Amino acid sequence: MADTMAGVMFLFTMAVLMSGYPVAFALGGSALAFAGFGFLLGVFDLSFFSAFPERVYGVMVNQSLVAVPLFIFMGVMLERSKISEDLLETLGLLFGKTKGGIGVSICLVGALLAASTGIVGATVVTMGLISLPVMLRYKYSPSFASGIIAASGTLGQIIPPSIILVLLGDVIGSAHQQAQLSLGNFSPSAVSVGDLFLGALFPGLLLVALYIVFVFIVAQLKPDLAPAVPAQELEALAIGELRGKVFKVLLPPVFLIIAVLGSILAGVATPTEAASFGSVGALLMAWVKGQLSLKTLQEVMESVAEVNCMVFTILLGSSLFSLVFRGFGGDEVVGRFLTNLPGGVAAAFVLVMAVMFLLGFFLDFFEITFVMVPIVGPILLAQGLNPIWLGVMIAINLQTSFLTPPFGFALFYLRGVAPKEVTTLHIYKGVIPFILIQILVLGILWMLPQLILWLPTQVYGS
Amino acid sequence: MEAWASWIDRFTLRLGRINSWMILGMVVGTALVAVLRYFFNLGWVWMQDLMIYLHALFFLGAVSFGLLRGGHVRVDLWYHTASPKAQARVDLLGCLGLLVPFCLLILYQSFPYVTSSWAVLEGSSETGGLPGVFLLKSLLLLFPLTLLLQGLSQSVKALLVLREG
Repeated sequence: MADTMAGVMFLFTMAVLMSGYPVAFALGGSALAFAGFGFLLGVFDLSFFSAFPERVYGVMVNQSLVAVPLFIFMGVMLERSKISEDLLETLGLLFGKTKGGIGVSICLVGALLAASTGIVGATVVTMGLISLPVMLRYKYSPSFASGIIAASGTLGQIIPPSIILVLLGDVIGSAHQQAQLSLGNFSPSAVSVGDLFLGALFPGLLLVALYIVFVFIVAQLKPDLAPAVPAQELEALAIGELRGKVFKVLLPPVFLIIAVLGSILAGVATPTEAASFGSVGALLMAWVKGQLSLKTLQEVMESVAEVNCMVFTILLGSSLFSLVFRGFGGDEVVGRFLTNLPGGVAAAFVLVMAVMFLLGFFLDFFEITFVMVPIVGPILLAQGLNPIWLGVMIAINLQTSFLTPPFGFALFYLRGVAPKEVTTLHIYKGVIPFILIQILVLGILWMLPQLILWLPTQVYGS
Repeated sequence: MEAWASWIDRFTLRLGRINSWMILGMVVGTALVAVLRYFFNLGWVWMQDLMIYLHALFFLGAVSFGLLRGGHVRVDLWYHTASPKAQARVDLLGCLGLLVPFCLLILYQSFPYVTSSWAVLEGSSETGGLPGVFLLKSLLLLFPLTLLLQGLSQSVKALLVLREG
């Protein structure tokens, strides 16, 4: 009875989510409604709810989650100081004279912005608005151009410091604790947000490198898809002054990345503290560029408040959902199922990844992390998977999902800002090779987990 | 009814604006904590605690503001292209059927939790920490109340859209 209830509850909640009411309240409210239903049937014990205030309080006093608003602040502040516009224009000019040059510059900018913002969608929108028209003007194929932009825009989710890794690090950390306790290890080693940052660094760079190689090769083989900018046009754009300008626009983001990642790598600062350095840096940059007024600051703070409360309210809603799901014995059902699969932990892992990938079509990263990882994480980790490895694989998997037609988030964002001559089909076709690259990277990381695990071991020595 | 809704909206907006300043305190405070510890080997538990308090206030205080601004993310398969009436229907039903019960549950469950903390004026569990845990826990009651208030205004606005011709 309770087994089927857990399954029905999941489907019921999905149906309520589809109504379009804000996810945070839809998750919490439908869990509550279902609990009431279960109570009437006599299969749900209402005393499960008494654990809820303690859970909310746990979120309130969680030190590592303080990094989330700080990273959001850094990202929004940088966005206001127009740093991405400068980067796109200057690097586009710098690489413009080679075939595929603008495409390569977009991959680079995507990576640089990723390291400094990590807000889902923001990068895709900026690049779609600024670079897509430019690429079309210089006769890039619409599908190739939109594929590059959509893919580069999702890099922000995987390249540290990303908000997503902060949240995932926290959730994976508690899943790890729980798994170790269930195995009888009562003083488990902690997994931190910093571990996940370090673990994601090489895989992120590998993705960028493969994107660039791919764009470069396509441009050499089929120059029609990604032609060079004609020399006379570049001259008209005053290429002579470019060197000084490149230095000037590259300096701020590179400096920030070094300050933030460097302080974590050196073990000097926690990710939360590094985020505050980044935020102070972003404030200074906006001030130097003359774009810091009281009005801008107020606007920035308000949008940080909005995005941050959105994330945390989903966390609260999801936490009520998990509580009720547990009350129906849902975690045991999932656990029994995942531990008895033919093919063992590998099959369980692939299945979980596939479900997350599918959910990623219509749910945001936050819901998936907060709802799924606490349920499946302890089960997978208890079967011997490494928590850092699992976290990075989940992050790349979801990033891929956001890129995949027909429902990928990045595609919607790009569709929203793309010029009319770019059709939805162009975008769909354009992202396919990048999806293949993502899958290739997932395969490589499965075969060579050291790519993820080496750096955390070097820095933290665990 | 409309006047009430717009009074609530103004209240939520003002609360959100003031509350948003917490983030600046967190940015400066956290950086300061790190610098003091690393360069001067100084550190106080209460400063760490203060950052936690600011953050709790920052996110719980903004939930109703987020609702007013439409900042809470939706699964947007059809909502953004739907007619204003269809949107209002979702918002009204969602508010009454999902948001209100969610708030009431938090209020109901948190009440004994918060009062027992007040009864002993619960302080920090660490020496040198901020002594206001009971105040911090009171946010568990304040945040669903502000959210209910804003939910009321959203429902009224949705109802007005539905009543129009």
